[in-house]
Amino acid sequence: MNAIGALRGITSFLTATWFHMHDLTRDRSDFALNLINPLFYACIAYLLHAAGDGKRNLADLIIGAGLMGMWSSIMFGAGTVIKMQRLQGTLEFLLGSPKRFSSVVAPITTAVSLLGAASMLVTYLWGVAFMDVRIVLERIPGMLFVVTVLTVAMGAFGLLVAALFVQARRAESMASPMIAPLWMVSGIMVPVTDLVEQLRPVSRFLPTSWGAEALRAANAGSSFLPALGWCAITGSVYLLAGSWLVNLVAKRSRHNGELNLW
Amino acid sequence: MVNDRPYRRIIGNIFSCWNTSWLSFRALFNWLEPRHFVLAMVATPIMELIFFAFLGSNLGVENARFFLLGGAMIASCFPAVAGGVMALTSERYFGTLENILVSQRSRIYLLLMRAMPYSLAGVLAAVLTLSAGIIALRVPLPVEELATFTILLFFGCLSSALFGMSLGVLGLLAGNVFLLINVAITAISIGAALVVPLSVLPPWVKTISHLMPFRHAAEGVRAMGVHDLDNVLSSIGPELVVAAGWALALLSSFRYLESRIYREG
Amino acid sequence: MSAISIENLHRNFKRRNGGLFRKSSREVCALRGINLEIEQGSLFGLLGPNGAGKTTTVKILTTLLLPSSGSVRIHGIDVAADPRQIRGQIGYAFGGDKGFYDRLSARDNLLFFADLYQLPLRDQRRRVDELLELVSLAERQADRVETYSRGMKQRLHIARSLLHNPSVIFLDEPTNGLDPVAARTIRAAVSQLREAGKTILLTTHYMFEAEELCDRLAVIDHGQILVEGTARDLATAAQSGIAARIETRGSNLALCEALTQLPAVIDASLEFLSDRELLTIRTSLTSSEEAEEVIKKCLENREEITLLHISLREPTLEDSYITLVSQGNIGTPV
Repeated sequence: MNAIGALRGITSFLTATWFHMHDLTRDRSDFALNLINPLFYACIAYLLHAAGDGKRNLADLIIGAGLMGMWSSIMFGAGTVIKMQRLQGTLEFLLGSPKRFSSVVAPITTAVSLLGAASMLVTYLWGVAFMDVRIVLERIPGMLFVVTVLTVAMGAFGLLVAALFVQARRAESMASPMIAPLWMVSGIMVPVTDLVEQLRPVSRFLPTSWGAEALRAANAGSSFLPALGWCAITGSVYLLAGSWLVNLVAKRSRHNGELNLW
Repeated sequence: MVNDRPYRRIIGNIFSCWNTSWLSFRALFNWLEPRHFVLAMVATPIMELIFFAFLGSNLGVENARFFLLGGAMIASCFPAVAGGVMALTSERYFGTLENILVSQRSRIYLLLMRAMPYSLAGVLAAVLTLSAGIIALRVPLPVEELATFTILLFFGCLSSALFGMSLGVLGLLAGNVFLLINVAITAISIGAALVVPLSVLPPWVKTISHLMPFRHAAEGVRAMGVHDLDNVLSSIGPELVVAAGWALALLSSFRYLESRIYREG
Repeated sequence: MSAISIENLHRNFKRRNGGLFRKSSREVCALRGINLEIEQGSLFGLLGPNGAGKTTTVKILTTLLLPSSGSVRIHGIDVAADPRQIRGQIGYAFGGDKGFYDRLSARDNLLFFADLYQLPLRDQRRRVDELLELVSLAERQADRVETYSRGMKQRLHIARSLLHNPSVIFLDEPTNGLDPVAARTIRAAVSQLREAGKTILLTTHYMFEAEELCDRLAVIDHGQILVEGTARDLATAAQSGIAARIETRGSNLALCEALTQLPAVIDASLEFLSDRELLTIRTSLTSSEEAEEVIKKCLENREEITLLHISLREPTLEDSYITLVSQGNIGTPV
């Protein structure tokens, strides 16, 4: 692909992402739901911290609560958006477009991931405003950089979720029980080192576990780049795997017909 | 023999009321198929229960039993509260709300018994979640405690379903019912101290929480194994008062909704 | 060369039934060997009752569904083998008010789909403006689609189908559920497209619409083409002749049955009005006098029936269609 082609591709991706963001945020109550959930997680984390032995850093828990929100956004949001496309009759127009289905879906999951990032930001500010989380201004750019990479990586992970929802009509029933194990395995509230030994390798395959590590490091003012690098790498793997799977289910939808599309 | 007739009429009315409520439950409850019920109402809370137990142990808060019982109660909230909300909002979705509004049936007859199937669904979800949680967390629970838990749970679910239906009236006026459901369930899980200890709640939350469903039932559940049975079951009274309060709120808000619809369309 | 060529097209679906525990599946045959050739620049109508296979055919042609067997080519390109190349050359609009991001404006929707159809960035805005003007939505372009009427949404569907200037357009029941004025606007837009040289495949339930717009027609039922040709060819294949509308008093369903037993009568139906009955009879007779004589003779023998009024007319496309579908005739392809 030449430079102009690549530039066109990026422009098209950004335009489509903006379009879906615009669509997702038009309904204020949906947007509010996305923001409120992690605030509740933050409250639970804060109260548990207050009731506990106080050994853990509160800021890490609030960051973790924001990441819980990110997971919920991706697992529900990426799927619900696909479900919405099915309900409003746009899914078949997306499938019938000349673009690869994965490049049509990627902006959707990235938009959802951006909403997750917004909820992380709001949760952190909530922690700063009401829960005595101290903000260190010079560490903010590093944290924002981590959040940006993590958002793209989670958008790529969302492709897998989207594939599940294109394939199955009631996929939310399957996605919902997966959220808490993902919270646990990705070490967002409790560090990966405290997980049982058998689960630790699994966490290394999730971009959020690296992202959480990088975010905690950036917040503590230590080096976050190695963890962030792994976050980007795992995200790239999900991009490839997710694209392949999304294209595969699109092909299957054409084959199965009414089961998956109409 | 003369006295037999009104008695029969009342029994007949209750049966017919139950039948109508059961039919509406079957028509409107989204997770009727066992597979969907287990995935959404049992598998999800089990996973959350394990997560919070793990988080609690990491933070040195309470013990696994605390999170097991709390998690099982949260499991019952979803069918009871979400079901209650959707018992009304789904009528709008299916376009059947008008038919209810024009029916000559008493609103007490139409609405109050509707809470019953959702309460029972809540009990079922909680008992299944608790059983799976006992195995997963390896926390033993004596059979007599399980029986007491189920009784307390029923009253907690009843007040939750009536609370959910009151929110459902609000859902008919407002837009996004899922926002309502999520906020309500999370508020109950914090306010009724299902996932955090009651002692750490700010005083104003503790005060408000007396109006919340499950608050008193949960207190009874927490007292199991610590206090005697009479003491434990005494929390049913306040929970019933809360349920009655929400029933009243439901009837009056539905009446307001009706008058508003007739006025403004 | 034909713009669209369909050969021996079959499509089966697996349909799952069953209760909570016992699930079973059975194979349903939606298309059973369809053959069609549609000329470049023509407007072809596909008629048929609900569930006949019209939408399945359109879904296969628009690359949304794979055929079970058979071949489908558009401009010589195999639709199943090379869907992405085909998608750039076809446009489609389905009837109904779904298919848009309702919370966004018409303009935003079209800009999004313009990008999806890979229009160069510099052309997107100009093309969207042109199309909004064409379908008379320019004034409401900034409004959310959810505020549009069904007719406006249908026009927006047509605008979307034209974004990438396709040479072949599929319109699946575009006037379904529209009020007469809105439907007329859509039909005018379809006529314009034909005049612009587009090849159009139109599915519809409305016979007058097909008669008004289409160059050629095919009637499909139970997944098979019953007959294909012009409206006149369809009438010949259906052997439909004079149709009669008779107002009576005292008619009953037994009379309808007796009438359908007559060799010259294809179909008879009875409608009960407040003080009389309306009998509609379709015959295979070409002479009005002959048709009137046959009907009167049949009524004469029944003393309980009073003939109030009789009117005769030439057969319409609807008569041919009803005859073909009700008898399941497979006419000779023309």
